[in-house]
Amino acid sequence: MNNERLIMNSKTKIFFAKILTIAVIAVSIFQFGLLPAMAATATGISDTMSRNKVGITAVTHSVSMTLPSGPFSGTLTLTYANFTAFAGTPTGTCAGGSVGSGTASSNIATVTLTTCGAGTLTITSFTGTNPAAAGSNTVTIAGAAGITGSFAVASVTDDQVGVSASVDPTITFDVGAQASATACATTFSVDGGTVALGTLSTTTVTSSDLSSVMHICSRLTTNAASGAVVTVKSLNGNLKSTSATSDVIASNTATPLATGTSGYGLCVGSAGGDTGMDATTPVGVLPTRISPFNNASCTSAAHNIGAVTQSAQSIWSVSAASQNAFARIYVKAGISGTVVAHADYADTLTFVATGTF
Amino acid sequence: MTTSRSIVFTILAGVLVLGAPKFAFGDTMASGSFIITSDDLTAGGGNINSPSFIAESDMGGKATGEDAVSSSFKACAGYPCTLTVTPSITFTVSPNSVNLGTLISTATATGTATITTTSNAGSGYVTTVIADGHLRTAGGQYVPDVTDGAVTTGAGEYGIGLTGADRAFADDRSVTTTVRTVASNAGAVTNSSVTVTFKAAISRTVTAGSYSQIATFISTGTF
Repeated sequence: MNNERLIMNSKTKIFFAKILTIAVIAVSIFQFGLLPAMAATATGISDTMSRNKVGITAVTHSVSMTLPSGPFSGTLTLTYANFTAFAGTPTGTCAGGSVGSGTASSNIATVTLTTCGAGTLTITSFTGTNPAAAGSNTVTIAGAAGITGSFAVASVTDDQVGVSASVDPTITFDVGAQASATACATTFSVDGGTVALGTLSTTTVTSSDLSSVMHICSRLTTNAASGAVVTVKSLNGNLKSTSATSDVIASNTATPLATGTSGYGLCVGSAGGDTGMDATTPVGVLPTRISPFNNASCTSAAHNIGAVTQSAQSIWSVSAASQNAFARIYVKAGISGTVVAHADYADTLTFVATGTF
Repeated sequence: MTTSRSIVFTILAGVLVLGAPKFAFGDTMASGSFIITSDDLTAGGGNINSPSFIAESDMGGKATGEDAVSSSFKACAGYPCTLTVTPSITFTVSPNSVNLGTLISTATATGTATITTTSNAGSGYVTTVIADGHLRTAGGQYVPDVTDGAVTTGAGEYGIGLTGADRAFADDRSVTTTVRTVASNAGAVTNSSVTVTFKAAISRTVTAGSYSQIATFISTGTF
């Protein structure tokens, strides 16, 4: 009986010794961190939000963090203090594993990690409403994956700057006679003047830039969004004798004005250098010649003219803003043998520039 | 008798095995989360908790010196301790409107806003700006974005310049619908200010009208 009790006591002690040994080994393994399900702290954590302003809704989040050696599997939750109305289907990427689509509600976004290893973990595709008050807001990382950490995101009273400015409407215009030897250019600035056609002949057409007859230069600058138009208005609608007002050289549209034919008119030069503008930023627009002053060939030798009238007629325009847009205008006249001789045929041309803002 | 020795041996072995890692890592320290923890194996003790601090106490440990404390770290001589610093980032943008006035071709108009950041993020912060479009009219005309590094009077250019220790660039650059970094720092900062100067210069072909743009600033800390 005593022997049996002794054997029983011995067996019991051996049993407890084994249990204790197993417990010691188990605890030791845990102490040395040999089990995979071990808590780890993420580093380099950030959340780039689309807005920081308080109370803004549907703000997007893009979370990034660096994981230590894994692998990590299981849920990872991001709990945002003071945020509300989370929505969307959070997902992301990680090194060596995958990030399954999760949920977002209230102020918590959750994803499920599968064997995510050391490296960058990203979590995106969820939105929320920013805190109602300005300040720093802590975000806590937790979940079954064993990743822990915390970081902060800012909420501010206003995260925007509204910039405003105005540009006043402007338009400047120069028009005047210029010597035939000098081409029109962006720097032209002489206003007014006289174009003396000299003695008209039945054997030739008198024209600007022939025999030292001056041409007319016009120059326009405007910042009108819809551009500007230059008009011309003739005082008489013809060349009229000052002393015998019934004697006129009628203005007419002729393409061309033939030698020995009575006529008088204008055209805008068609050569490459007859129109132009400054190179600017934003880029301006070149002048456009307008009918009947826009014949394909208008030079000192090509006498394709449009008739002037006592009503204003558009002669050229720009369709948008332009700086120092210019155009050369030719004045041409011819006579037949029946034009009454006078030394005082004259007309006054008035040019007007009008912007459309 | 043999069994009793076995039990004693097992208990001693367990104590050694359990204690070994603690002795070996008795001075372990963690960074990144601003926690310094040291442990020792003594007669007893426990933790005293508050919302912000955990003080670990023990019985039988040697008192070897005074504690050294800064805003971010606490070193405890002779006793284990833990100091937890809550991650934090705040920033402000002021003012929230900048009126450049009436633009003329003979001068460059300027206006400023200041972004100020305070953060204890160990890996610093980045502040970016993104615009809702050009500085433009309701009709779509706009002042062209600066592309040559300088907003030049009479040139028809719009952009920003920066001043401040944490500024991201020193020349003039555009503010567009693409995110652009305007300020950053690799470490913790206190009231780090960067002044953003909005600059507009026009040529005479910049269309007349009222111009506007909204610039949104976003600050992100990396902890």
